Amino acid sequence: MHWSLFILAAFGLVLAHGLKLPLAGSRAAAVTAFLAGLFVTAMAVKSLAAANDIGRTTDFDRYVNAAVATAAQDDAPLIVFTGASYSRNGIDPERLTLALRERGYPHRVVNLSIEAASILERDAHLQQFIDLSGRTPQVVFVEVARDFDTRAAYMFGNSKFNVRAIEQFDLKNAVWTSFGILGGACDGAKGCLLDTAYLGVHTALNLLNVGLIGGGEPAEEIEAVPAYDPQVEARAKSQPELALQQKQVSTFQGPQWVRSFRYQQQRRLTAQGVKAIGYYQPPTLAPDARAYLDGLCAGEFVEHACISPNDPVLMAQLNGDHWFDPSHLLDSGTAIYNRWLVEEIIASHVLEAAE
Amino acid sequence: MIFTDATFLIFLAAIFSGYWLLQDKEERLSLLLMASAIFYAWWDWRFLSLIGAVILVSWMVAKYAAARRPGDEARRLALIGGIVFNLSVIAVFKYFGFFAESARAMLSTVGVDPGWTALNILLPVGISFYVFQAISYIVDVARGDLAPEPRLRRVALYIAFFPQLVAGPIVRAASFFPQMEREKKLTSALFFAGLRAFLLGFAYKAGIADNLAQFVDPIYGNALVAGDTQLGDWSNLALIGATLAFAGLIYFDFAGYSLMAIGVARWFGFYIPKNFDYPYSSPSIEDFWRRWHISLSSWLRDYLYIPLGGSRVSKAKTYRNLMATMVLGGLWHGAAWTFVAWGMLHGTALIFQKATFRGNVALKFGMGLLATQLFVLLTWVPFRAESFVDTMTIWSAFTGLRDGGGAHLSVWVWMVVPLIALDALLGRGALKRLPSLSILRRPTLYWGSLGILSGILLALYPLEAAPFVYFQF
Repeated sequence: MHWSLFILAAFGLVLAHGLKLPLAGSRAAAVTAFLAGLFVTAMAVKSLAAANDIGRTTDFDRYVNAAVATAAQDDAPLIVFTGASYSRNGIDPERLTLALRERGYPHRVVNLSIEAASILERDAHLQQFIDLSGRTPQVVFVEVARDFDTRAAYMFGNSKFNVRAIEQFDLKNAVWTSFGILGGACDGAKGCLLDTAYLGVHTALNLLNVGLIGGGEPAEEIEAVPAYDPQVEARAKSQPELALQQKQVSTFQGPQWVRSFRYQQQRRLTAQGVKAIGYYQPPTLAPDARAYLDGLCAGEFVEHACISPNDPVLMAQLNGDHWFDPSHLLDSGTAIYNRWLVEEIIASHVLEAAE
Repeated sequence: MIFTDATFLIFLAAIFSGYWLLQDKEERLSLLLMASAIFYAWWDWRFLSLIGAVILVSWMVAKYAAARRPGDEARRLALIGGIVFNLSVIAVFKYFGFFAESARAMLSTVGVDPGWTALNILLPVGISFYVFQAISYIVDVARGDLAPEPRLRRVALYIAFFPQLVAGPIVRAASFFPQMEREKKLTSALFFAGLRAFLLGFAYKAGIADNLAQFVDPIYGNALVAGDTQLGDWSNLALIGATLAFAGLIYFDFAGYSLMAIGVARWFGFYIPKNFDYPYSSPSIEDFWRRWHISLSSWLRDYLYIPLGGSRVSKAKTYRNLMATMVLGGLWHGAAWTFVAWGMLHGTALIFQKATFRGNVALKFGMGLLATQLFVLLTWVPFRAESFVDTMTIWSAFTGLRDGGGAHLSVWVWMVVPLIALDALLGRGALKRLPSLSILRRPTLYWGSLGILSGILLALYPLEAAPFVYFQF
């Protein structure tokens, strides 16, 4: 809630009461005047929102605020994991911090993950975290999953026309997503057309500030909610024996659009002072999905820390009742994975590189 | 499908285009009836049969009654039968659980366990509105005030006309039937009249009411939910602020819905009378009820208060009639004793006013306005509160006798008062005739301002829209 809401509401009331029957006039002039009024208002509202740090409030903002509070606990160097639901269930920051400290590393782990978050949405909130906390993470681990790389507008497969969907498609993200769709990061011709249409509508809604003041709050007023979401009861029957299956791994690069995005993200984060950028994916039962990251680790990410779960030892430990569903871990599975992950992080020497 | 929803706007655009593309009056009416059925089925298709039964029975009863001579016993019985049928529909779907639960509670206080458990009957949306329209049709025909309509389709459209189907305004058959027969043309005057009402309603609902919910719900909505801030934790100012916000919310929500209904009906060439006339500028309770939910107040006056004898009987009976009307009016809003209490409080105030002040309001306008609006504000507490215990807690906050908790609401909640005042000033006050506003009729300024207003409403539009408050009634 912000004072601007009442000012706008009062101004809206005056206009709504004042607009009666217009006199006849030229249609072209009417359309021009309408669009000019709409454009000027959209710009004014956007400036007002930016000046007061107002955005449409989503759960991601709540997680960011919790992460900011976590980061403020001490001056320990930060390791930020940013991912989608795989990480929201699979990265327990407390467990990882404790395990690292037991091994003599002072770092604090922060989880910035939310369901169905594309790399673009995650990047925006990573930047939001850096801005709000005033801290630059020493290491950023970016989750990589085939689903997100191969469908630029992944969000539309899960939900549309809600606060998160509208908030994330600002002009910059719309351009990146279009780049992805043009490069074929969508599901067939029909899927590409649909994604393009949805992208157009959501970008228009974003640019016209739909729900920005009504559903928005200044960032510091948003309630803090931790991102990590431990699950204790399975949602769906899974086939844990799939954990033991290993697919042939080849070396490759990600699709062009996402590679370009990752490249500019690496440059920006490095310029901001991030010492190391790594890539990872929490375990999934689908052997193909695990093999995808393995291939990227050997190809695109060869110069970065890259932690693929496609490790027979880890997967053998997870071959049991540790799965919330075929793609997500139960808390018991997270405990196993996080123990393994700490060893991998240390072995990758990324912490030394950061120092 | 609520009026501020994109789905409804697409639906409306399709029906509007189809309606004006058709040339034949009967085809247009059929399209409107079909659209009304789709609109209602969108909420819950299972209740189409219920509204269908109400339409069919009301049409048959009115036809049967009209075929009998005035004073005929069969005509009287048909009238009673029609009213009883319609009231039974409401009684079963809206009040059965309430009365069963009240009876069980009463019996248990004397140590009797009736052994029944409360039935959770789903409340069909808009039932209180369309049943009242059906009753008024039967009564008007049986009284001889209205000719019976031989064509079922017209009665069906009157009862189920989608712009006002789920939350009114309650329209009278005598005003609606002639409009169905009139030849209609889509003129710019008609279009812009509809647009004006719709936009003002949209501004009320999406721009203001939905944004006030965030002040009301944490206090009134979650009062007894474990884990959330309990009612007792809130400061006195927070409880008063939430009540003020609710006063604003219910007005802007319901008046907004009514205006949008009026606007949509206008786009199809139908005129629906206004339902609100700036009630928060009323200097007396009597005046308040002439301005708040006008279609319900006048319905209760014409079909309950006057048939009971109105004020043309002894003082005691007039007071009884007033109280009965207001209590039933309260109960109409919801099956809970808090609504009955709300009706009783307003009934008492009306009786007090009738007994104390004769002729014009004795109090000066300012004092009357203050006293009336304070009373209205205080009576919104039982209307919205979950229980009498909560009501007493919130009332005690107004007295300052309660030890308030440490939880506070944003100070911006108080802005609801200037917003209500501004609305009244623009609608009926000095600002209404400001010459500067007539400048907005110039085409470039009109369209430019419409662009600005659209930009503002989009920014204020809540992406998680709340349903209209009055749908639940």
